[in-house]
Amino acid sequence: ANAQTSSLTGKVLDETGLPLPGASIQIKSLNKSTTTPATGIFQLGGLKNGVVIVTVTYIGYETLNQQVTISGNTNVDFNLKPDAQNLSEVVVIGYGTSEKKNLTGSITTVSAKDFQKGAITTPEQLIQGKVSGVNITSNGGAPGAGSVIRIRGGASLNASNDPLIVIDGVPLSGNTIGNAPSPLALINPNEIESFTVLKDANATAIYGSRASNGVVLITTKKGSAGTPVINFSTNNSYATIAKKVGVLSADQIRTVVNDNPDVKYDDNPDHTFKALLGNSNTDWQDEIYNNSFTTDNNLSLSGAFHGVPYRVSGGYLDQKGLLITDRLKRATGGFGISPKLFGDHLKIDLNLKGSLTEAHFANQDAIQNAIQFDPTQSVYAENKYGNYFEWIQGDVPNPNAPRNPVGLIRLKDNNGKTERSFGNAQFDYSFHFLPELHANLNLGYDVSKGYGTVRVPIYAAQSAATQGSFTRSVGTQRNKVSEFYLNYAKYVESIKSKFDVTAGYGYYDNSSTTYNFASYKGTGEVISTPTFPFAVEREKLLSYYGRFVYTLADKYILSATMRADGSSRFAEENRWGYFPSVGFTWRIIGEDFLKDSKVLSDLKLRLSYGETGNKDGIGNYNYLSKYYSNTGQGQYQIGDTLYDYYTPAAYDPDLRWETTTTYNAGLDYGFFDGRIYGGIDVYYKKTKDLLSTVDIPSGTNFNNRLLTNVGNMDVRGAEVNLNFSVIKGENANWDFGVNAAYNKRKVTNLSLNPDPKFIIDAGGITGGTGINLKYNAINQIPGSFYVYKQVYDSNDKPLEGVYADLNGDGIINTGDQYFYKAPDPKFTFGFNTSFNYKKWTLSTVLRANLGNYIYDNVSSNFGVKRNILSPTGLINNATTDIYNTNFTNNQYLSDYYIKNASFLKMDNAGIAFDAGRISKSNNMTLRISANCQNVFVVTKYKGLDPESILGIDYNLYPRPRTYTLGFNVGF
Amino acid sequence: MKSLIIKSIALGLITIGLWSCKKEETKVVASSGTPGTLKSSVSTLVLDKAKLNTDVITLDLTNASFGYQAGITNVLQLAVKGTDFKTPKEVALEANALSKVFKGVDFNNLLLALNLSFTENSEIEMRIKSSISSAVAPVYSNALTLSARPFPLTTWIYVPGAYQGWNPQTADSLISPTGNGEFKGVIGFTPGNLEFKITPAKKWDIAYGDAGGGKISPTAGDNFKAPAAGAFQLFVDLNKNQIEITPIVFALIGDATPKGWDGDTDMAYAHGVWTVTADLKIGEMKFRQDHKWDVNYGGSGGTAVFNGGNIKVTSGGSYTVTFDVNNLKYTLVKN
Amino acid sequence: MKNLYKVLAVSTIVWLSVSSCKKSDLNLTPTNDQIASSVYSTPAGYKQELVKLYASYALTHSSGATAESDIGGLNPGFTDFLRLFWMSQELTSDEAICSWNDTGIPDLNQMTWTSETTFLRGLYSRSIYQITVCNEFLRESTPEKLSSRGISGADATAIQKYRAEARFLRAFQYWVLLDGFGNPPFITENDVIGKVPPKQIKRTDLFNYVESELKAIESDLADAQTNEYGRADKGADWALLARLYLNAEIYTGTAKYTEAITYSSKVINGGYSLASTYKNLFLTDNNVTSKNELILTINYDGIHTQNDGGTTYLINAAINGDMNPASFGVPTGGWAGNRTKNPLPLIFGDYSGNTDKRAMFFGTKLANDEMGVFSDGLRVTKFRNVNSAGVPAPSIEGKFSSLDFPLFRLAEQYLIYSEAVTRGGSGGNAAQALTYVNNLRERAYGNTSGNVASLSIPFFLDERARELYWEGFRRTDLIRYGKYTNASYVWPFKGGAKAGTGVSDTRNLFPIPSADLIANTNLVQNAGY
Repeated sequence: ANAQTSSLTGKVLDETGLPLPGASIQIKSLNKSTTTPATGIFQLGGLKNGVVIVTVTYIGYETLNQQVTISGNTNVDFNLKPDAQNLSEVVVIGYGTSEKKNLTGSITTVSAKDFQKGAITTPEQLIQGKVSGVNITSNGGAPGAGSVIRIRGGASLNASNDPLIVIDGVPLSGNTIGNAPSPLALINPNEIESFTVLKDANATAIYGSRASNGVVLITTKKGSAGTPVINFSTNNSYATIAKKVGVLSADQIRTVVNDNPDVKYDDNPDHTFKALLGNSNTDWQDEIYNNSFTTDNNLSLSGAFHGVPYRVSGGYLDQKGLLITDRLKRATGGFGISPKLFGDHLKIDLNLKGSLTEAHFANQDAIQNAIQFDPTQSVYAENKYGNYFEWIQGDVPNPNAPRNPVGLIRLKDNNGKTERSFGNAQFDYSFHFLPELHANLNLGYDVSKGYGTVRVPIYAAQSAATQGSFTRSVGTQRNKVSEFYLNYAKYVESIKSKFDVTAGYGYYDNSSTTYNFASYKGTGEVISTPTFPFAVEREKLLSYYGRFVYTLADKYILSATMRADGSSRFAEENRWGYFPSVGFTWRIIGEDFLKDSKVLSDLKLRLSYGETGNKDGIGNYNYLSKYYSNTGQGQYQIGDTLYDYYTPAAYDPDLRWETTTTYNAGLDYGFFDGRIYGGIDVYYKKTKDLLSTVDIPSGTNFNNRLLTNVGNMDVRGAEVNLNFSVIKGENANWDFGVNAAYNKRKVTNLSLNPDPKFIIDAGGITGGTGINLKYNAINQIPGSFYVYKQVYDSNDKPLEGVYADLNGDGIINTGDQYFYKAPDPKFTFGFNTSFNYKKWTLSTVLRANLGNYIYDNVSSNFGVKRNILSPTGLINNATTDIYNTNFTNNQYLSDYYIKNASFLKMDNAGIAFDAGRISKSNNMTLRISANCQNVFVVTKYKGLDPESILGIDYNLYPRPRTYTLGFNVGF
Repeated sequence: MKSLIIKSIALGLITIGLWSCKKEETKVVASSGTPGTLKSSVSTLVLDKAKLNTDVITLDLTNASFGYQAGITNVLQLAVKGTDFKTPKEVALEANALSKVFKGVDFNNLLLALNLSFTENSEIEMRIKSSISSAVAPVYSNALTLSARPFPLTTWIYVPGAYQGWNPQTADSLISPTGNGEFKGVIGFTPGNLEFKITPAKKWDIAYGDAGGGKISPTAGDNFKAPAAGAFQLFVDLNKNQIEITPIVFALIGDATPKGWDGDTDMAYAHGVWTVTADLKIGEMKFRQDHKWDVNYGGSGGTAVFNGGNIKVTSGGSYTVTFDVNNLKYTLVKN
Repeated sequence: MKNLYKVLAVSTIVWLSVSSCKKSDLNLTPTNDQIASSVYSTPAGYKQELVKLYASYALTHSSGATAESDIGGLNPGFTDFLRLFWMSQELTSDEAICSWNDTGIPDLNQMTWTSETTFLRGLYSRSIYQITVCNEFLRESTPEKLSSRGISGADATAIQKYRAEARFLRAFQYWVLLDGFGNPPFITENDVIGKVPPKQIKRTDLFNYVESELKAIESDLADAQTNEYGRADKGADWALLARLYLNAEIYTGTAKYTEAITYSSKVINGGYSLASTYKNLFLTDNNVTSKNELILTINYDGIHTQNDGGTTYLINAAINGDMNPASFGVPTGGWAGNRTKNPLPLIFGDYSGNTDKRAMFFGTKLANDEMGVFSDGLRVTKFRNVNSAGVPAPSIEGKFSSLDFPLFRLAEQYLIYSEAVTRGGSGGNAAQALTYVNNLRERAYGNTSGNVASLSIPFFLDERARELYWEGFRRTDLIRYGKYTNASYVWPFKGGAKAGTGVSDTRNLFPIPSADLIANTNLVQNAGY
């Protein structure tokens, strides 16, 4: 035989000796690979005689690297061992992949089978509660509302705390468009294969400047070789309102009015509150909420065409919100092919995705107005405001009154449309003369366009001042990414060493354009006209990065990364940031003294250090000295002429990167062949040069506050997770997983001249004007509540306006405010379990937050007598909290309103029936599932929902309780 | 093994459940309050002019307690003994102050406000009212008894002159209500009798004369001279030795008066009382000074009220109307 | 093998195309913004930027009443110059009280402010902001800059005049700081934008600076009444000097009544005359009806100059729904905030408006029983967004005002002259002083029935209240009369007591805001805070 035409044939067998179809067989040194067909017998032809390493992998099994001597037609069978802990699982990391057991950073992967179930309309909700140290808080129950993702609490103050999200290797810009709540919102969750969360700096630093708050890598579903598979799934759900805000009934309001005959709102004796009472019993919350249906349908087709794997998918979501008229329709489509050319030396991955959304947004102002509106009034009344009852003053709607909640919704027509397309093409070339050397080019784009119109008719009370209104918005986004890297990996048997080196380059160009339009009264009269037809915001980033991983004897792994980023957001002198990291892993389990341990099946120590940066969440041109134009509402008259002019803007020419240094130590363990496994991490993050808006010496700039680099912040934390396979058998399996995290953020300095007394406002409340509740201050958690200490009477009732004199000067004033609690949870927990018996599976996910506090702004604003018997001559409703306080006037800054919002939530409970193949004659498979989301909440907090990002409960769109029935059919 | 797991999960959930059920804080609860105490440096106090600017009484207090670090408002209350503090006079104390010192003038004013006798000591009581809020009942310290006597502060000087025959005994006076040396009063000069002098007492041993330029001097011989006949207001400042003479007139105005609401019916002045004879109609009227509304009086039942309601005239006819501005009395007598 | 070349070629091309990004590509600039050299490239540009200096008196931000502001750290609607200045002058005095419970407002009502009080910090920041933009204008308009931009001849002469106005506007804001805060940080056009914290200036030195600036620019300013409406001229310059000298004793310890007479006389003889009707001064056609009394105004426009402060605030905060907002030209307005403390109507005696027509009050209850109850205290109806015929001025949203606010008017100069004469300054005479006072009173009464025969020093404190109430003078006046802090004169809620009590004399100055004390270690807090 010719030396070139030797071959390798054989089978891949599982632990029971049965063939495994779909296993992958690779000879990396020759760049040869194949997968086993249904028969289990593979063949690799065109080989040279000699010794090669054959790598056999199969999901759920340990990877096998076996030395084989090829000589003519060689036949070898490979036996794979099950991998309980997925240690061989290949994990995506930045610019490459790694086997789980060799990871040096703190990295967690969640794949499709572990996702949250039910009516999930935005991707991040798939992994809520699944990863320790990752908090995902939805922005409320509106259709398509996104979530806030915080990994290890976030390391910034005014800069963004959002993690970097990378889809199929393409980093998303942090910007959102038009009406889309988050950059992820337009992506179909059904298209996602897995999430990988990078937490420590050794894992994230290769992403440099955008990685201080962690990185989330999303891999979408791809085509696979083999016979075409069609999959259709449909989820139909019914959302119900889980809880309403507790307010007084109409009769309770009547009682309050009748019990206070002496309270007047002006000098006219006929002007009594009694005369204002209506005769209805209206539950305004019932008027604005309704239970609603959602349907989510997805169809995908994947297979191979002339050996080229492809996948085509389409989805259609139609979601109605709890708030009447709220509706989101989204159509998504995806297409991907993965050809291999030049004898598999060039692998191409092409992904294109698109989505179209159309939404009608209900006016969410109705939420707070429904809480406040007088329940004794009817919804409708004969009047010129569309026949919705309104409070009138003179000839106009009373400017101090709430507006009819139903009118607010019905008379505001707010529509949005978004078109988005994103995709990438990845070329991976393994050099012919040196297959260990790969060149990888990834070109990606993300373009979208959003349109919106808001129309309020002439007669609507909500826009009485302008006689209705009409406004439009249009925005576009254009983000481009190109990345190129070279990777060289080599195993040198003689010194048992593996080298893996990557070096690359990236260029990112993000721009968004906002078009400005005139706004009109309902009569068509122009209210304001834009000064400029549009504005473009653009940002570019240029990067160089590299990684070096050295593995010795499969036990000692050293990895170092470096990234240099140049951003257009900083002046040339400060433009470049350098972000190094180093990590070390010791696979203790690989040592001889543990070789034969019956108990331990895995033990690994990870240590890492690294620096990352942040420049997101600030403006694009903050370092430039610039003059901006006035608008048509900001002209000034001199003589008879109205003048336009330019105003110098405050700027900091020295603006530079915020940097975070992270230290992380972790231990991964496994017992009893992986029946129990998990990990522990502790970390310490230090951020310096915080991008913060602080007071600067007055007179040094064109504002007394400036975004500049000032201050430091610490984050400390620990994370634990434990997975336990309780029952593992032929017919029954029971697994559960628990994760827990502790996290504490602390500001250590904030002012240009370090001063322990320095505090700066970090968030106001609703009610009054300009009342600040949250502050950033030294040695405090960012955004801590700064309040007065409430004094109670012996019956545990708060005494109105009585506070402790904390500084002991005998007077109660701002000097007595103190820091009391913060919105951050101290501990977060996630709990997952699933029990499977034959074709049935039961599963649930629970989450808990402990030590998080919330400010009950709903009660502090509405729960007082002055609100019910309003001095502006109208009656409002109050929250039932008024029975606890009996307050007459608002006591906004009493710590009474800071409530413990610790909670335990059952996010999801479901049952699924997996019929498998339903007839002998064809390949149709069927899976039926039923789920309930937001099953229950255990909390002391009396308000609507204890879960809040900012720790201020106000105008929250209720998170629904949803029942879902799903069918999944495959062919 | 299995049950152990189930138990530990259950235990974990219960712990979480309980933990989430309390607010981490030490609540500040206000007690009904323990009063403070009050001590006085003296038990008897007789005041006179010499003590006006000296410290005459020191009150020491200990703070009330409401069971927490409170911002307490302390008010000193004084009342005539036996009245049980029904209508106390109150003085707010500084925050956190533990003692209060009164000067003679201030304490004298308090005593005057209680209408005490100038000639003998009266028993009064003092206590501290401590409160944290209008919503919470205040607490009171012990009541101290003090035997006290104020002295009258109001002083007068006299204006003997041609208008009354140069007789200090019967001369009209100028009054200083607080004894601060600034005197004020109205004198009605009759035609041809415009000259006058000023005496501190109803005798001639000291008399002030005109030192020119608005100045007065006890050594000056010149008489003062009113600019014209009629009523003039005299301002005399014995601290600065100055005099100001400004014309003054009170008049009737109103639809009951001859000129209605648009014109004044002037009154004549003599010895403290303004008088006019006029035909009044049924209607309303007021007294006003200098044809301006800055100072005007209404009233009813013979008592005049500054800026008060209109005075009713219930039947028409010729009246003699008098108005005593010092004592806020008026009369309407039909002729 | 051939394929290999293809691949290499392709990768090379791709690589090159990708790496074509140059580092200089990272220099990006905003779409619609400009840089100084383009803004100041033409004479018209200079005019616009001069207008910007005036506009910053009238607006919280050049976008109108939006969520943006020139000043950070407080609600944008609060950051207006007139609103903040007015609150500092009136709420802290015996003339006005506000029923709102926003953090800091009760502190002003009761004179219990601290160095944290946001409104004082707002005023301080606003004044310094306006000084900063004036400095920028002065830096950009030096003769060197003009010649480098090819501007010469008549254009350069006009800009010389603009510079004088910029210095006037700066001096005015320094006067605000001198009067309120005493010892502020001090910056001129020689201090560039950056991070070097400014030094503090002593009150006396600041007085001297303001005085010297106002004198230095006098000759460059347009003659009285010859500049465009809304721009400062010599009249405004003299008027501010007169105001400065009247209070010199408070500012420096040395009285300057003679100088006050000198400069108020210059104004009085500058061709101005009293408007015939007092109430027209505060109606939207005051630029027509009262043209000759107005020396300098802040110009507002309910459509093109939108601001939640300014006269929009003065009008809306002073009324509520009961008062028929439409008759004030703000049909959707009525914020129920400011009303009188009871001494103000009582100073009038007859506050019905029947005799002294300057008394423009609404309501029946004088007593200020509750701070938070708008009807406890008479309301002031002096400012309205209607013209002298009662026709409402244009107002977007039915709340924004088009009423121009008189920053300086002749009546004040009459009163300065007369008070300075009465206080013993030379260069004037008592008869003239009496005439001026009676001119005002005749306008107020409509006849001579209100005339006074003689003048005394205390008289002016009351007369100024009657003539100038709610126009932002009161705190300064009470301080000049020694009645602002101590217990010799109290009013409701003064010192935090309902009946009123004295406060420490250190409150004659406001505190330097603590935020700036921390940011700028050169600053020393005023005594008592």
